[in-house]
Amino acid sequence: MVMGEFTQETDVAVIGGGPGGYAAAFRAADLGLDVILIDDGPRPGGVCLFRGCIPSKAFLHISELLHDTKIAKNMGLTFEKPSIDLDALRKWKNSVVDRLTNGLMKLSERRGVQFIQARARFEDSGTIRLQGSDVTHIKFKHAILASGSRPSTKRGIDFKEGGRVMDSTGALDIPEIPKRLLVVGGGYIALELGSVYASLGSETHVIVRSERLLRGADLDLVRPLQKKLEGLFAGIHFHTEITELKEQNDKVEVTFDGEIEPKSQSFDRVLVAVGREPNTEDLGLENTKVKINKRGFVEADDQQKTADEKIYAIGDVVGGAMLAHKAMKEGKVAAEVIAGKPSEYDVRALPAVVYTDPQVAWTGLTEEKAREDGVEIKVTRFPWKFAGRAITMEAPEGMTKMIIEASSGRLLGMGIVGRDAETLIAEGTLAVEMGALAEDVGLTVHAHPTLSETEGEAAEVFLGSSTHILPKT
Amino acid sequence: MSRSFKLPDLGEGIHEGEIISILVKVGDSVEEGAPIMEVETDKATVEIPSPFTGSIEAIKCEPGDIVHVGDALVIFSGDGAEAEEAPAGKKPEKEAERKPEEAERKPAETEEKKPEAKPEEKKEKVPAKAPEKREGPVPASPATRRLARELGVDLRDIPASGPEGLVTAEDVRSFAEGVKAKEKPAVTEPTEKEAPAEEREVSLALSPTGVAIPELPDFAKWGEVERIPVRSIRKATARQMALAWSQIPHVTSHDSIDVTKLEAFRQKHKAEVEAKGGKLSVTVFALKAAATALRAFPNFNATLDVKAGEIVRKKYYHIGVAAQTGEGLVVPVIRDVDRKSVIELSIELTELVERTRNRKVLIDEMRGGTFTITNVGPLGGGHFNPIINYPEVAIMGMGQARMQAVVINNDEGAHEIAPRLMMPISLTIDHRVLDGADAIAFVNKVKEVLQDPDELLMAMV
Amino acid sequence: MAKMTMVQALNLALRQQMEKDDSVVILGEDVGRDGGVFRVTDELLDKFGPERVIDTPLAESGIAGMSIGMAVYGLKPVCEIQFSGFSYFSFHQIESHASRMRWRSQGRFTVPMVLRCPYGGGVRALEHHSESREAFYAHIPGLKMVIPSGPRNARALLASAIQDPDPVIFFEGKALYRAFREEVPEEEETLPLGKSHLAREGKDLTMISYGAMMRPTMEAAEILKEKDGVEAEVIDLMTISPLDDELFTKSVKKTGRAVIVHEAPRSFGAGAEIISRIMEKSFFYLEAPIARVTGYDVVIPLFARENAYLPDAQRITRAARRILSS
Repeated sequence: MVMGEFTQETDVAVIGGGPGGYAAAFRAADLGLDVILIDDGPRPGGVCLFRGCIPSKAFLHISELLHDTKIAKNMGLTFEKPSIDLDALRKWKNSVVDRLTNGLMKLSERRGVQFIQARARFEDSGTIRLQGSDVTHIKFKHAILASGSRPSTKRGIDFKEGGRVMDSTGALDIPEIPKRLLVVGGGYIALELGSVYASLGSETHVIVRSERLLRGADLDLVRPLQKKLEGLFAGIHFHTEITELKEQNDKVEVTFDGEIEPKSQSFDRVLVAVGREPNTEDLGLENTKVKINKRGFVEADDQQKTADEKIYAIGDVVGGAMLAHKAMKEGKVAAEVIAGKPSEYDVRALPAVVYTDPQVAWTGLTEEKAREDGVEIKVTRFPWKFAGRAITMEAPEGMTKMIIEASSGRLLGMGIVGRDAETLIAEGTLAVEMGALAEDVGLTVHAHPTLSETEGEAAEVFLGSSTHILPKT
Repeated sequence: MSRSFKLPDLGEGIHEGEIISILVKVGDSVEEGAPIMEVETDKATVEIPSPFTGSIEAIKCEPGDIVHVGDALVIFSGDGAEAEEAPAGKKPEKEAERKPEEAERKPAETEEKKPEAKPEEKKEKVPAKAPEKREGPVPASPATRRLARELGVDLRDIPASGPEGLVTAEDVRSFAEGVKAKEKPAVTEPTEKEAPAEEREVSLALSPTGVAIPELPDFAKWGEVERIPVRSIRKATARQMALAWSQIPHVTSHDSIDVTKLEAFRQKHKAEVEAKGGKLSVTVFALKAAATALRAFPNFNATLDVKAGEIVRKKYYHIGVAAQTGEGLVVPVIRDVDRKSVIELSIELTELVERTRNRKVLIDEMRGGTFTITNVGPLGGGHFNPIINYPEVAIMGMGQARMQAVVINNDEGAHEIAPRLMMPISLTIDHRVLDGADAIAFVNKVKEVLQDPDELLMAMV
Repeated sequence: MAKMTMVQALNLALRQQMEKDDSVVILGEDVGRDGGVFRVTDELLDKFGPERVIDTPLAESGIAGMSIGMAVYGLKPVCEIQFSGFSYFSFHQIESHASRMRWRSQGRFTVPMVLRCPYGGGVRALEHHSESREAFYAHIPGLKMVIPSGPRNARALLASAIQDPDPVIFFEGKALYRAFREEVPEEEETLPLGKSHLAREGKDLTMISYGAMMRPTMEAAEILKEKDGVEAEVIDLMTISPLDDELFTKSVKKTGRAVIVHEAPRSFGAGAEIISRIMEKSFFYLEAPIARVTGYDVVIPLFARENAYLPDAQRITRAARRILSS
């Protein structure tokens, strides 16, 4: 447009407008700092809003609906097979995304955060060069790197845009409802997106390299989910990998190694969700003192400081649990530290939620990790088949468990499988953060009949005073 | 289980010292009571015995360090080193096994996990109160953790009052307040500057009048300078002198004593005293003369209690003798001068001064004085104005006895000029308690007694 | 109040003045459909229509001449010359007519026009796009020469310039356009032309500057305070002509020393006039010769050497220290 290089100065430059970036930008602005938020999208939101959490949760809501219409027959309500208008579905999903991202844009403006759509590169530890905007350079006092992550390409699989082999981004466009879909991966993205397609009608096969689904969650939480998914998916195949993948015009030929039979199959589409890798390339980080570790993540301490004292890093790009709320918390910490507050990331219970049906959620220490670390614990469980509310919802395949420190009776972690685990887990998170004892949760009155009761009762099992299940000693 | 040994309170007003030597090393086993280091405080070197039986895990100081009461100096590990590989699921410690170091602290149970590399790499700082380090995160709500960060305290140091070791916000606040109170300087004078606490304390001590002192210029502007830290005896002396000068209105009476006869007497008896192990110096006679005068004029053997508005007359006679050591002026005290013979005093004085010069004198030996004699005579000098050794009310200074031409009354009663050995004497008094007339009277008494050994024999106490 | 860049602040001033007074019109190259190459006139065409926001042909003498005609006729034109380096084509119109109309008509006709252009270096632009020739315009009697230093005063000064009954040359430092954001009140705010502003109070030294050089001058003042304990007084001229010598002579009488900073070339620049005034009005209060920290007497260099040409905080601090020690 114009000749010349235009430099703008600011207190905090945030690179990346996803949940981590915008949370950091808003907090910094609220604390009185001058903030510029840079993202290569037209509005803040990042992967989460545009091609991750939000669209997938919108579709999963549809899946749950579809599932409920099917089982309503048992309750005396018969629905005809639904007709699915993919265009309308996509349009609705986009309207959800637009509503939220426009809201973020307004929040930015009201807070005086300047949003610039551009690609950013560090020229040195105090300057960012922008591509694609009127402002060509930003001179910052502090920078927060929140460049996030992208679907992993490590298995050597090439994702052609619009191709039949999709990553999560492509899958969320729902180009069609494939007749036969292969889902590669056993983590939450694979299961969530696989569930969406299966509910929409695809014959879905899931292959997993290891022997189990959802590594990181306790097995007893995964089992009820797996049972349900075995009914929803055409097959879940463990210890299985792809050895050859050939994309044709109208199908994908896949050759396998492992438990699956037959070893050669063709699918209409393949969804690969085997992990995510951090976005650290093309940022000019080599012109700064920022260090990247062996696994490709940016090194940051618990105040989110990198090896370069002017640059902070948060969210997926620093690794750890690659979750939006972790990024948001880290973003706030970074903003507060920059504003001179003694903040740090001292989270004791970070909740994780898998939005399948039933949902799986856990927080704090899992039973597996506790045993690995040699912590002496007591585990109590409350199966939802004894919970009145679960029965009224026809969602009895659930379970609430508590991981309790044996010596002190303190709650160290909680795990839930079942509908609405996403909300229920908050009580566990708060309890662990507050250092509550199982006794505190057990003595707190939980409304009846609710799913949250299962949390109170799980605690009471520990205390020996549970009502709807025989207390164990 | 590690225990830390902190510098104990060493006596009134002493809140810091300099490490002179460390007598143990890491890994040594020591018995309770065995000396582990030497610390110099103000003017005396003190030997510190080990408070525990155990082995030395770490030494947190080195010779030359200035340490304060409460500083952790040495870390002991428990009886035999604690097993590094704790089997999974060890039983937690019970309250009874805990050392009752802090009586009011509520018991906090600790869970012992299988130690990963972390505990050693955690902050080196030894917790001020808790004798054992907590492992794993300390239970505390997020708001409490933020409060601790803002107040700059470590959760692991805080005694917990919540159930099962939960640290509450109240716990954090009271702990933080306690830490602040401890850091207040020992000298409670009105402060003028915002210099760091230690600096303020030193500068206050060296000039306690509460006067705002202007900033010094940068002397390097005019040429080379060298800076020497004011420490130990110099610092103590500076503090003492500034205090005395600022509180006491000093008046000095000068006179000269004819010690010709005394000197002859001294020469006569020198050898016999030496044989007994003492040195018969003029100071010994001065001690006796002073004690005699003090008995006659009790207000000279006193302290002015300003707060109570009373003169505290002491019925004992402990006289300090100023001695110059390599590091500065030290004043050991000879007790009950009135009850000791000249020979006893000679022996005691000699031994005391020697120990003082070798820095072996104990703090207690420098306390309790009621009057001070400062004899610079051996070095030279004439009349001078000595500064009173606060909180005493008078000090007697003596200069070098020199042969001088003096007018005396000869046997015929006529004036004659004779060579006499004249010793300068300077008596400084606290004019709040004593007047010029008192000073003269006192000096006259001393003169009377020292000019004639016969008189000394008759009059001395 | 909202935080905005100078571009946004100037846009705000133009919009508000056009809303308030429909005799205000805008003309220039690319100002309408394009919103101005720097976006200063962004969205004004949509708001006010093509009769009031006029895209002109590439003809600076025409732009200025037409503005003079419109102004004499009764409108209040705000014309834009895309870069001050192109304004020489309009110079004849300005010097021979705009500045003289009041004199020529013995006060019956005035020319209430504003000629705005981006000026100055610091953006590594091409040749002809970086010079500072405010001295040319300041030397013409009958003209006002105004140079703001930040978003808020840019908005206020432009509003005053538009309302002024005589021609105003309004130079906007391009390096300042987006350099930083400032709170600018929504309600109309004006600043009187011909009055300078005390940006920083002090007692040891007077520093006088304007435009994009205000930032390095203020930075130098901070360095002097931090490192040398010197409290410098900094004056932002804002209007070059007519020069407000009252504030800076009062200041020099207090401090006895002065440093003048401008990016325009040294010789025959604004600094020369300021020094003369100081000499005339406060000679006996001077403790040291007055220093000028300026661009050099060469064409402003391109990319690689631009930073060596423009005064920066270091150069200004050095000059200040020199005169403080004499």
